[in-house]
Amino acid sequence: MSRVYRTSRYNLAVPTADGGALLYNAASGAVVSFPGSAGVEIAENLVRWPARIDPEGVAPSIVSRLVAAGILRPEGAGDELLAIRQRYWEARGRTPMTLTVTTTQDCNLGCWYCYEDRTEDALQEHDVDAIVAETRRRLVAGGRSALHVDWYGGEPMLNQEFLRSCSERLQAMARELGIAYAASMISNGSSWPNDPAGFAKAHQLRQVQISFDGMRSRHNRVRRLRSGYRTSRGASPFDEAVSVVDALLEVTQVDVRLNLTPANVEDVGPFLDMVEERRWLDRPGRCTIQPARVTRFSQRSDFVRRNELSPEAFEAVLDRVRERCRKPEAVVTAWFQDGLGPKRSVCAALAADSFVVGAEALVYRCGLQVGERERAVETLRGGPEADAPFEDRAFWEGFDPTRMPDCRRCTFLPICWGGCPKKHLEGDRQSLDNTSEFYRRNLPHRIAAGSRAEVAAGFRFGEEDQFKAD
Amino acid sequence: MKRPTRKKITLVASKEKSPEVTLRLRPGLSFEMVDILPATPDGKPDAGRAALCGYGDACLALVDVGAIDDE
Repeated sequence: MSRVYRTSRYNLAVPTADGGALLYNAASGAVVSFPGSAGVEIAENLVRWPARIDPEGVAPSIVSRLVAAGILRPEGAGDELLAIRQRYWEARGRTPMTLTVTTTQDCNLGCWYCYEDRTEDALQEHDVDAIVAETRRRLVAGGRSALHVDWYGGEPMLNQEFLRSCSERLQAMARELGIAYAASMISNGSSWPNDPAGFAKAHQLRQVQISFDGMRSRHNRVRRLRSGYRTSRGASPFDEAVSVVDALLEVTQVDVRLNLTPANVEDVGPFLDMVEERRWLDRPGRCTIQPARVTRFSQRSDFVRRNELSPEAFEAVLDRVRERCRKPEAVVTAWFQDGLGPKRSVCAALAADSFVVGAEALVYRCGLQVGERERAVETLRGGPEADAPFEDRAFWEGFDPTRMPDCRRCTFLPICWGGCPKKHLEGDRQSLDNTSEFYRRNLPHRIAAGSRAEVAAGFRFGEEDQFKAD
Repeated sequence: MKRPTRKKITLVASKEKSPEVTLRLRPGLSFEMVDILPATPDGKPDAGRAALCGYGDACLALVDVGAIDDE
């Protein structure tokens, strides 16, 4: 009598244009190709869950490969959901420690869709001690071997004096502790000193994100200078940003974020032409192009919903960008960062020991929350806010998608881990549904692309594929 | 659900929670297995990198914050 197996709950079948099927296991990342209608028949049976499989008569070599792919599991093997839970919590402990520092909540540009309040809050020289001390405490307690610092705002370069001071102290602390140090910055590119490359070197900036909203005319209209502000050299926000990207690419990686709305999609072609003319993809520093859908990034920016590209329209633009870009691999989005394999890292908001310092010295878990005082989880300055209840702290410490009613029965769980935790915190059902829709529509194509196959016309995963019985 | 029209074959119809399913292989049936795992551009397994923000539309920035510890 042959051994009995069970199907994995994370099996998904994709019919291919040539009449066969691909069987994908989201928990392992493996894909098995089954040609012909007989293959479809087998694949359809293997996606059933729960199901016991008696492989009597099946060649042992075939069974062992299906087991190796995670598609078949020996009877009595451990609970798959528990294995994912364990991997998730391990990732929360192993994801590198990141300190995000909001140097100021002020910004010289007045983008209409900005999700942050612009205020005069800014970190001061006297905050450096507390930031360095808290960072040191977490590094030592967590036994960390590396620190990543992300400079954030507002526009972080509007508080350069603080940034220089804090950066020097953090670098010195890393040297003293004998740990690796790297930094990055998210900037609008309009307030940099005259030597951006020298600044990047001095502050160990390994990566800088500079945002654009189209070509010169649209960019300057959206990223308009606020009254009373100027750019570093008096040029327009667009020309300043272009010149900073030019300079930084001599020494470091630049992520050129291209914010997209229905109003600026026609600038995509001319923008990519500019990327070519300026040879941004051929410079010593790596250049990535990061198209991004302008959307509701926080509870305070619900108004953006009225002017955003639909997910489908955005994906169509993304396809155009990839087709048009000479180096498609330079086009990067947040989706499928771990390929088709199961996720192995969490975002900084979930990573143990990582924290975000707001411009008012409150501590947050997610950088998108800075300025939303009610979302803080502690304070570095003491004072009356030290006694605040910090009610969100328990949410962040306990967030576990494997225990959530929908996620725990979702076939995409190993590659999604519930999506953005901030959306769960805010109860943003529309964004969470968009995430489901994204995987239903796009995952079949990613599975097929890896096997150099084509998905059968019109196929997408349905609700019964995503949610199996619990 | 928007599946294309295709032949539906059910080997076992059951309302049991753990139905028995028998894999029936036909003469000449073959299949190939393709492993797809996270890979670097040079095709070698990725050591495991983490990003500041990792979720589609919600992205703050796709900053690489380094290799996952202990891998």
